Amino acid sequence: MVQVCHTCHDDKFKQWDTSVHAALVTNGNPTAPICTSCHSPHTMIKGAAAAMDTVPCKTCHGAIFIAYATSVHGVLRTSGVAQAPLCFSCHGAHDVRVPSAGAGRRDVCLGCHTEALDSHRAWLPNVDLHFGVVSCPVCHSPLAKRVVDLILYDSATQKETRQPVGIPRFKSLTSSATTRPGLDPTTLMTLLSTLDSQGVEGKTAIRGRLEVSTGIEDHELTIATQAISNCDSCHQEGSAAFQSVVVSVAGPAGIPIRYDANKEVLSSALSIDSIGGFYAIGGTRITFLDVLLVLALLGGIGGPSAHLAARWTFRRFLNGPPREPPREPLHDPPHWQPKG
Amino acid sequence: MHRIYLHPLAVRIWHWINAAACVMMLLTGAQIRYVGVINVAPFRIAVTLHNWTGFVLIANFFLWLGFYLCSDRIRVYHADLNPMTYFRGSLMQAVYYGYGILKGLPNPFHPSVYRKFNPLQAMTYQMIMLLLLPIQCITGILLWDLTRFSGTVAMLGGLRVVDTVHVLIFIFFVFYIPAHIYLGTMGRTPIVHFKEMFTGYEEEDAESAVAIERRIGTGPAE
Repeated sequence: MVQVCHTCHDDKFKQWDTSVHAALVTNGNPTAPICTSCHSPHTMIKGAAAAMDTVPCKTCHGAIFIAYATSVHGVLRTSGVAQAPLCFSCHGAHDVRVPSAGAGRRDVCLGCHTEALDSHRAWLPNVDLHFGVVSCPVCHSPLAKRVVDLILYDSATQKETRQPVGIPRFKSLTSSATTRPGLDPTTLMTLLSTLDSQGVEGKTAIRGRLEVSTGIEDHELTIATQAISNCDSCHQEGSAAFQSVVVSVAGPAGIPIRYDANKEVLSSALSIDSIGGFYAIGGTRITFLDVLLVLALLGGIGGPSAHLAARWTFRRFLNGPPREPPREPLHDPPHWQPKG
Repeated sequence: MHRIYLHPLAVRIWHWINAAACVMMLLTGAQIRYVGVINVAPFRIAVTLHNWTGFVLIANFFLWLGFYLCSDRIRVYHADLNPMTYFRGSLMQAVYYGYGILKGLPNPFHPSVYRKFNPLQAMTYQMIMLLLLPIQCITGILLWDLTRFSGTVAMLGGLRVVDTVHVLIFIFFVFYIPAHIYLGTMGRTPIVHFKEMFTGYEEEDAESAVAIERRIGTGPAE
């Protein structure tokens, strides 16, 4: 069927051919959409994708569309604001893409919200870093469950690592991890070294991003005044933002494939190297350093206190009456001896 | 009593600015790292205070460096190149702190204009001023603007490595500052060393001081 449409609609076919839908078709997904899935062959409606009522995406993505329709974008669109985005505004119409891959979502948002960087700079420290690491819906879908996405990438090309094929070790490591506690810090270290030993040119590294956990939550965007702007919501231990962790690789057309990881990977000293690029002050602090701090505090206060107590005890009970101050300069050990 | 001018004005100014800045850095750093456990200031204000105080600390470090590089007083930081002398002095000082002071024995070290640190102090201050504080300032600057310095951070092993180094030195200072204040109480009276850091003068027993100055060649002939 696609080839039939291609005969006349070459430009649209080429766009579709680069889409996530085409990748799914190529991957053998029987429900992946082709031309006729969205365009009825005999009742074509011009501009169907541009209207809330007729947009075909909701046929398959119903739950996401409901979330969108009740979001600030959907409400504005319904009320007649033509600039408010509909599905194709962010995802494209034929070259359908996944904005959540890489920095795609941020770029999509900034495509319309051109003032967003500057308006955030007025109150948010390290704005560029926040924009690079925190996905927009994390704050702008305030009720969403958040997840730390540890994305494997090739440090030479800076591209996401494709799902390793033919590496039994990867499959066993990740599959064992998905059963109960998830991929732990040691397994994550082993996983990285396993991937590095496959002859790739660059070192496999991890880029961390804070995301919302589902595509539905991605679309539950609210008005700016209701967005999370409280630093404490992330920058403290036990923050909801760091309770769920996944490790992801790039699947077909860049759709992330996620594997569960144990949240301890964020606070383990073993992760200093393996997830060196992701750290939120206060929120993902390393437990071992907290222990060292307590010991330092005890030593710094307890040591002098014990010494002071010893000095007082010696002066009060053991040393007898106070001595006269020395009359000679005392530079050498013999001068230490109290004079008889 | 004999008075020795141990601490020039520039050093005293540097010292007290440094002390205030270090305490502020520790407090704001603890607030930033332990939101929820410590709730004295909002996170954002703590970050702003930490950043500004950090720049004051860095500028103050250069005041210290500039003064000593332009003054013959830099001799107080010259390392003792004789390991045996240095080791013996350190041992004597450690024994004094661990035992001698309990028994009421006199301090084996007597300062002079160009030798104001005992061997343990000399080692500690060299380590702090020439190693730990510069590393702390550099890692602090990197963490202050991670986007601008992303290349350097990556070269050093990543954000977690830089942050861990910063936190380890913070932990050291959490231990060091109370100990430093306590050691400051071990003069002839508990406040004498603190007073010196305001007046610049250390008061020594007259006979001792004269003998010391003779030894280093700055005092009257015998």
